[in-house]
Amino acid sequence: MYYETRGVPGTRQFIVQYTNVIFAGSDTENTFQIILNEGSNDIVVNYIDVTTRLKDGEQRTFGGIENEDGTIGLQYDLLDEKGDYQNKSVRYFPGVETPAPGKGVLKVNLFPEEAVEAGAQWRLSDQRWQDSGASINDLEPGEYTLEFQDISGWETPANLSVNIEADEITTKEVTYIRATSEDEADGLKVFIYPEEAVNAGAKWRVDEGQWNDSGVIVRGLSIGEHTVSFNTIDGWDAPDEITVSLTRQLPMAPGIYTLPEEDNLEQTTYTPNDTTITKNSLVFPHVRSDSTWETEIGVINISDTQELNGSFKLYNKYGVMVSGLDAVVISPLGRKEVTVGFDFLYPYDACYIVFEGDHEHLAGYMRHYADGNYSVATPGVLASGVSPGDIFISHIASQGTWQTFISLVNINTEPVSLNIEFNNGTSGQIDMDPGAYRYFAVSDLFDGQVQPDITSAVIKNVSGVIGMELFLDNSSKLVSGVLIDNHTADRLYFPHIAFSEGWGTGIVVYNPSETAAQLTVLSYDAEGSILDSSNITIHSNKRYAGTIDDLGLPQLTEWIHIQSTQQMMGFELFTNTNKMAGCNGVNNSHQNGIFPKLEKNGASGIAFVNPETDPANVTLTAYNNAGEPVAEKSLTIEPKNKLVMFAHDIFSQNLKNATYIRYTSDRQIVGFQLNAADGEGMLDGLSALDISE
Amino acid sequence: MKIKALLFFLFGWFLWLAPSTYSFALSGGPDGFGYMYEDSGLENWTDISKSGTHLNVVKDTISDPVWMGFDFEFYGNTYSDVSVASNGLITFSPKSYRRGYTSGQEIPTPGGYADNFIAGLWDYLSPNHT
Repeated sequence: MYYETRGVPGTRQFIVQYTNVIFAGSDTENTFQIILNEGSNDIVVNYIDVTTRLKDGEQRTFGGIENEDGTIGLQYDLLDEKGDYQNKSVRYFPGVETPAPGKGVLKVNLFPEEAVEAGAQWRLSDQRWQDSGASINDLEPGEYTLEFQDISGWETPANLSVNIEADEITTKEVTYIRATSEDEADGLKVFIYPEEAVNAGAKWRVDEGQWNDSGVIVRGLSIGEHTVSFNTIDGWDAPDEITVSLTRQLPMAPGIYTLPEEDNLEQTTYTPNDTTITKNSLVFPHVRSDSTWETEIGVINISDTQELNGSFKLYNKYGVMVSGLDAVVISPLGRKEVTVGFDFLYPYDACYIVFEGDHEHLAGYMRHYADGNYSVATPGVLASGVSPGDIFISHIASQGTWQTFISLVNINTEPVSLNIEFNNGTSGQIDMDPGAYRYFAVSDLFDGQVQPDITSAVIKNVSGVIGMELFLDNSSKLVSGVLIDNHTADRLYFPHIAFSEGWGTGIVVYNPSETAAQLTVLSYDAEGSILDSSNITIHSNKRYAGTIDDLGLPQLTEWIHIQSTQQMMGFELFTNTNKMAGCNGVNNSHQNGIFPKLEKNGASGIAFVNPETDPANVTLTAYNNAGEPVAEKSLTIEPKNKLVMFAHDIFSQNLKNATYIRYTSDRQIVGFQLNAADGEGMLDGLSALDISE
Repeated sequence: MKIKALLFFLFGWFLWLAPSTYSFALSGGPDGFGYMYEDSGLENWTDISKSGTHLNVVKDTISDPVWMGFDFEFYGNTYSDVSVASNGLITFSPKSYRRGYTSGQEIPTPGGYADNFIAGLWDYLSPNHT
């Protein structure tokens, strides 16, 4: 895309050129220009080589112009059809028709807009009334008299003599003047910001009169000082009362009259006071929407009887709500997906998001992605499930090209002081106000120096803090992440081991206890046969980490079961060139679970492991966003077996309208999904979300 | 007869599916302000891809305001800066709401994705291809 100003003063052109741009999902290149002309104020769009599209009867291409509030516009109709446009120009111009030879044209514009809305019109003597902006063509040259319609509350402009000349267009601009008394001010107009406060019912009034909406003009006020106050609305702190001094600006010359909006304009901002996060809230502790990263969030109503009513709230790093989406209704078993940059105001300011529901039967996920390069998915955290105690950062990579980033959200109504104790004996303190968000690289705590000997950390005795960590290797374009929590188990399942065709798998098992843990590591193939069994010891606050090769596990290993004498944490990561995904290793076997996203721009893979000693009978149902079943399949997974399938191969029905999958089983089974989207690095993994009651 | 019918069917189907190449003139308006449009063969085409300033606007975003070098009147207001969106429109009132910089919308739409704009080819475009 390019721009340039060309020409000489008076007739310059400002040109914006789009060169070889393509439609999403297409290879067809398009080149066109938009040209703004000085003086004439005409707009020309040059279509050099363009092919518009009409996709599925919905996706359309639009051309045209629109005014500042979207109430007036002009659509270039041809672009509304699929077609090729080569070497074609469209000129938009303030329209007055060309006079016929020897005749003249008269165009009259009336001001202000309020007078026009009140019925202001014009006419030539005794002819029919005309609206503002209308023109009369083919007038014989000569003198004419312009007359103006009387309207209540406005002074009618005096008749005006106008001379029409042959082959000329004559334009007159005439202004109505509001009728006011000598001691009356022109009016007071108050805008309230932000829009969310307005939508929540914010109003203003002057001198304790009637409440007014933002932008309304109150008239009939005397010259002098007046008091403006603001109503109280839930969730916001109203601005303090203000005193305004009103003046009357008499027109300096006939025909020039403006509402004194600028002189008597007050801009007022409500600030939100609600950072209280209720127990039915699903917290997404890290959000980015900028020129590189985007965040997608999905919320699923796991109740099959109750509607889920709630709202999305976006918070900045100080815990101030910057925007949101109210009155979200999700039908039973329904799903709502939002993309932060597309669906919310002020996405650049958002650091974390809360979905506040009216019941606790909800689950969700967030996915961060940078088009084509990175994708990472993690579950949302239900506030009622956050319990006090130590929370663990089970894997820290701060060496070479690797960095580990940590995000934390304080969902308490009180400040907290966090003590982070690293495995190498160093520590740090982080203070957080209520609702505050912190995001930092581990190296940031050490003057920007990477810390190769730091591999884990614990945040001691904390309550009401939710976090996640992201591991990022910019040189290899690898990213993955896990929640920072206190979830531990003595049985860990790693359901997917990949090491062929360039894939590698790494696992991390961390012992957060004060006692050494004795572990039995069992490797299985897909048919449930044990390939290897070994015993290892992990000392307190140490970890067992490495690739399958590093750990000496058999090459045919398909999944791993680890039994421990202590409560442990763990997760696994799969990597290939420029792509990485992972899933959780603890508390990941359930009888009821969901795979919360079916990838529409790629494919979704589903894997199950039955770690029990009896066959598992599983029913999978694919749903659409409205909560309607789209497809269903029953299958049996033999004991200790692993099953891997593409989602679209599981069902005989078409999954085009399905957005997620729910399963129920008569055994505790481990499920996880991999989503691969268009783009080299667009791979992410997610353990099935537990929806057991 | 059957062959004729088949050919008609095949070619009729083909013509219906094939993108049209438009060569006739079209005009429209005036809108509520008085703007009109008229299309024609290409006029005043000067390629600025070599001489112009490159705008690094990534997909689904919009540039900072660019100074045009002169005052331009649009719907009764005067502007000297304009922002260029990745999706084929330029606007005098950029929003922080990115929905307007993706796919298009009927014109006009009060309270729509974008306002105060000139849309050349408002759709889900990828400028990074250049």
